[in-house]
Amino acid sequence: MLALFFTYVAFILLSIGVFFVSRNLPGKEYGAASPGFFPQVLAISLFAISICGIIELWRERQREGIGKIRIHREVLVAMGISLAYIPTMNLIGYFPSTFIFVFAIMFLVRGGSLKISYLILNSLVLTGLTFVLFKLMLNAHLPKGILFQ
Amino acid sequence: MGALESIALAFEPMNLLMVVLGTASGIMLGATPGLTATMAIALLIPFTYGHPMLPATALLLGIYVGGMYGGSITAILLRIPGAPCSAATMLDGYPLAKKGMAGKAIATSTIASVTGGLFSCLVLITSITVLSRFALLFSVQEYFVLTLFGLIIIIALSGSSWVKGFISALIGLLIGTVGLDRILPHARFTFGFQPLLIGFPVVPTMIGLFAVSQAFRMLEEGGIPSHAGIQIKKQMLRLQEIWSMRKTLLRSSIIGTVIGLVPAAGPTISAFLGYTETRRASKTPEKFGTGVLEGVAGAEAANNAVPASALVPLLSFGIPGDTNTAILLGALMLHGYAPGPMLLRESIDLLYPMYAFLIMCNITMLFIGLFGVRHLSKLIGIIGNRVLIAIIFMFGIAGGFVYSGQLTEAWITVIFGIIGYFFEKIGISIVPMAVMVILGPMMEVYLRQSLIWSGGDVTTLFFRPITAVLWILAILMTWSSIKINRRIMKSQKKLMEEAGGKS
Repeated sequence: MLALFFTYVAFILLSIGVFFVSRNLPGKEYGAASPGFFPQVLAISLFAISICGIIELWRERQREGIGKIRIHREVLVAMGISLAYIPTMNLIGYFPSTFIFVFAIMFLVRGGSLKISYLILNSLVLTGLTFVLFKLMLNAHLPKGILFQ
Repeated sequence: MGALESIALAFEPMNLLMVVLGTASGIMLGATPGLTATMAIALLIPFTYGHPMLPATALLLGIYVGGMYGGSITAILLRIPGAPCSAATMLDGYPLAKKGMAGKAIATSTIASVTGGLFSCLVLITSITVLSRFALLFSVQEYFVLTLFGLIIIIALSGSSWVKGFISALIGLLIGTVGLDRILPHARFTFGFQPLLIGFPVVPTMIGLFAVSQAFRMLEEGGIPSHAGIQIKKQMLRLQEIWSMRKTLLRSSIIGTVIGLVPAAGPTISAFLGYTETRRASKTPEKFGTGVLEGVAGAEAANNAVPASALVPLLSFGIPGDTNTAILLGALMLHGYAPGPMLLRESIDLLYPMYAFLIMCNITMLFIGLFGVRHLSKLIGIIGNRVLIAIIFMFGIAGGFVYSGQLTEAWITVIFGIIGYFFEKIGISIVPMAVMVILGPMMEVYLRQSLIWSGGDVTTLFFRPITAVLWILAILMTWSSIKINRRIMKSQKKLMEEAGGKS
């Protein structure tokens, strides 16, 4: 699997990065008690195990051939929406951003009714429900939005 | 505060309400395929933010206990295990449902679950005091060996490849090193980003790994099959039938309790071991897989004995043995309890109510299972796929940040959701990572303190009397767990193939 191979390579790069950053952490004079000691041990272990992973993958490839990983478009879109939801919440506030987010996620799900009125009504109910729960019952701080402050 | 006063606190109306709410929610979420007890606990932690510790604990324990049982409902009705551990229940539960005996299968599952749950509660109550006295003899070296043992066994039992399990654990350990160093106050891997000084907060990380990543998977699979139209006839078990299963119930309760004590072994191994041992002890093993009540009882008693006994390592040594207890520990930390050996000593006021909650959760489960499961089942059917997936996303992401009000925590939730999804996609289990995010910082502190106290002498980690015994125990337990796990995996595969053939 190519994805797994690249993941192992990424872990090797990560381990090298962690190793050098930890070497430069202050407090080296404390030896094993220094803040960099444990991360260095982990970095060396991660490097070695990732190499083992590549060898294991190589053996599997010779036995079973290359498998493919397929990620559905809906999942990639949902990841994008989830990542966009947070800055949007900061910009326009909790209620409108959550309404848009819930609507978009429900729109993405395959199967069942796709009536716009159904989606709008459910998005409103769910957003209202969490607003009441978080704001009024749990007294949580919900973003008001930079635009409305 | 005395023991009786502590127990009396558990019976306050608010706590009782939380027990009922938690158990019912746990059963509902557990009965929804794709939603596990782990995910349910992670999703509902935000609802405990505003509550004092006792009602919060009651709610979370209810979800934990109810979630384990709930998975059996869809396993029986739809041949879809609500949780992986319910796959063993499905083997005889679904054939019973096909014969029109779904009500009886659910009643058996309920009674077996409650028996297993109460049995392991008794073991928890009797063992904690002894083990916590034993824990007083431990020093940092012993605690380091214990955490290392947790790491080794989690890697060994994490799946088909130990390399992938090890990598997942190492990533979890690395995540645990981010933030201010716990011994010398230096920032590590924060790159000047102030919110990371406290490290990656446990709750958003867990919600991301278990709830948001699962929501991505559900989106990919197109949601869950509906069981709105399924009718369950009200069928009760006769006392004679329950009495005839007494040996099965006792055997499986013991199996589940012992397996629950082993870190990372978990309810799936326990349920299959309970099922195979019941079949082996039966006079008519050939009937198993065609709809035998004892098969359901054997799997469910073993499965539900796990939650209480899995709390033993957490409460006696402050070390979580699996993801559920790791998330519970995360919730305890949120309410001001420190992980590690001091957990029990500093929170004795929590211990007795916890026992009472566990017993009450099982009793609530008995009533819901026998009289309310038909209505709960309809309620799950009403919620469509679209709404369910949207709820998980919304509660996951919003729940991640409501405690602190910092959007950084929402970012952490989403990023860990994406990481969890990709890890599972490429076959790397997220369980070792999740447990090590919590165990890692403890492990590092124990290791470094041991080395400071011994002046850098590594042999202190191996040759102190208790550490030497712990090493031997750790090696023996890891070896036997791997053996049992392999045997169970083989028999699980065989049983599933047989069940496929019979249905």
